[in-house]
Amino acid sequence: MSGPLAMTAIGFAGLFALILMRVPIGVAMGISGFVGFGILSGFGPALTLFGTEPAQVLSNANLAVVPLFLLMGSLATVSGLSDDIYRLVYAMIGHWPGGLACATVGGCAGFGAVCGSSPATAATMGQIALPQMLRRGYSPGLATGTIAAGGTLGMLIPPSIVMVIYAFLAREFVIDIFVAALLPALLAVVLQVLAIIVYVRIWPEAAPAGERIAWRERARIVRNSWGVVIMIGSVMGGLYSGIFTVNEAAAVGVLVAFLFAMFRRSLNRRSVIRIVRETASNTAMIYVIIIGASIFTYFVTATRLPGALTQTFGDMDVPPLVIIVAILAMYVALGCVFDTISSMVITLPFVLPVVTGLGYDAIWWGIVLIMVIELGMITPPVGMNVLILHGIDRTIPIGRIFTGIIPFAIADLIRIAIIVLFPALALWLPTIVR
Amino acid sequence: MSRITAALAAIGVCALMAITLITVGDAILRTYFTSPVVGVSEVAELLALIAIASFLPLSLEARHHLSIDFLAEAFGRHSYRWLGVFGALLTLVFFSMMVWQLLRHSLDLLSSGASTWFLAWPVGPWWLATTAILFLCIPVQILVVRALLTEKGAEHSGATASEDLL
Repeated sequence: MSGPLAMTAIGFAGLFALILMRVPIGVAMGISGFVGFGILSGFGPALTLFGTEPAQVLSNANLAVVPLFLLMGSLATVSGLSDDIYRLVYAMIGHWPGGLACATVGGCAGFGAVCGSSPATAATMGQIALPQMLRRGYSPGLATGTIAAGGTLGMLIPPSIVMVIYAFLAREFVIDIFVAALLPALLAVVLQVLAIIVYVRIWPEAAPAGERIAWRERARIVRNSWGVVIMIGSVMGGLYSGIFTVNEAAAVGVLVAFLFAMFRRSLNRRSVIRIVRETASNTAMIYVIIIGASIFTYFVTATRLPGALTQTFGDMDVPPLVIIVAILAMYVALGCVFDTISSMVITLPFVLPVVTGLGYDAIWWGIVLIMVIELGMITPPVGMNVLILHGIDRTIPIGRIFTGIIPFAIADLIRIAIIVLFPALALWLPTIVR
Repeated sequence: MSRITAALAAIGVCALMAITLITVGDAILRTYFTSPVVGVSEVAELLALIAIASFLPLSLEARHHLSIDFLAEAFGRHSYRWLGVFGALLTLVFFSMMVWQLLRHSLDLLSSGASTWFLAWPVGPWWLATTAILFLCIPVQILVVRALLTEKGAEHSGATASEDLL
């Protein structure tokens, strides 16, 4: 092994050792990047990375939407917008066999549009939808599987915090990533609903049909859901029509969610403390990871690994698609240990140059990458969304939840295959919007 | 210390609300009255700086990190606890180096008289304020290390320590 490659291997071994020793992932990346870069280029220049990189990350205007989206999600949760979304979708399709599960997927998609985080979507919808599904005789496996899988839509439906981080690290326009995600997100919802329909066809007793709601009652629910419509409409509509920039759309979302929470009298001492703690903790956690990743990227770049890997893969006599599939398999394996953001920030410095070197588009890769790492949220052994659902109802064993996820995992794999084989599904809309 | 970190986090959220108001105001004026407010993005960037820095001490105090816990659990409660102390010490080193280098960065900006493009606001004082807030992370993390050293038994553990909702 040549010097730089050996150095990279040692650097990654050190990074993984620190991570497995309970060192926070952002700190582990920062420290191993500092040591690695220090050995290669001297510790004086390496030390300056602790000034230049945090300064660049903290003052980055594109990343500043992260705390705004987090604040918007917290405000939307305390103001009960998630209940409204769920009630609205249920009123329309709840009477189908499996309709409650389909409504949950719709609710997750709607909440994902105002939240941007997968576990937050799973936790919020889990508290609303799980008791209802169990009360109506749904099998616990299908009920929890639906919510855990539906929760992943929070990450895939724009605005998504993971997409903002990807855009920053890949140096792409975040609006392009958001637009590119629209069709894949729609496909995700359709395939998840199809998975429920097929499941219910095979095991009808797993999801009894709910009662049909009268049209007058439906009209009342639609009238009462105006807040949701305004919120999603103002953020998504403003963003995609080109009226607002991403930062402006996030600010509008915060303002609408704040006004909604205020008029609903949802803002009290307890809820405000919750909002402050959630926004502060999650923002800080993400920024520490990004700062650590920026320092680590310096080290990886200094080893010249990305160039060497691109050259190696380019010289290989195998179709690029095979390499992409191998990389996706690596992410599925990584998803067994790491959460989504960690998987992405640790690997992006050397994977992205390889992918773009093979002739693929960085925007397309962002969508594929997010879809594959979100699988880790619902697959064993960690499966964060599964753990959240288990936390909401401890009487449902984790193994049962994982079993309930199987149809949705199959649907997700089909979706990933479709987007990999037909990149135009992700890349067509950004060309129209430009 | 909890009150100080909580108050700082609240200030951070207020800064975010201020960013929200000026950004929405600018968007409305630009869209409907074709008279955008000059320099809004510059003010928003400076406020975001303060907001994000204000969130970090609370996050450290609450030990709200993304970390992998479940493998360390296999080594037993005693090792699990000491690995936690090790992680907290490295976090202290990380933040100490960051504050040190950001102080140098801030002083450089101050002495060079760097300013924003449109409004010509000096950015040095903003960076100095940001560094001062971040400096609080050091005593907070020292208290975290001390608490971990004095804690009886293993601290909270789980399949993964990815906290809360993200």
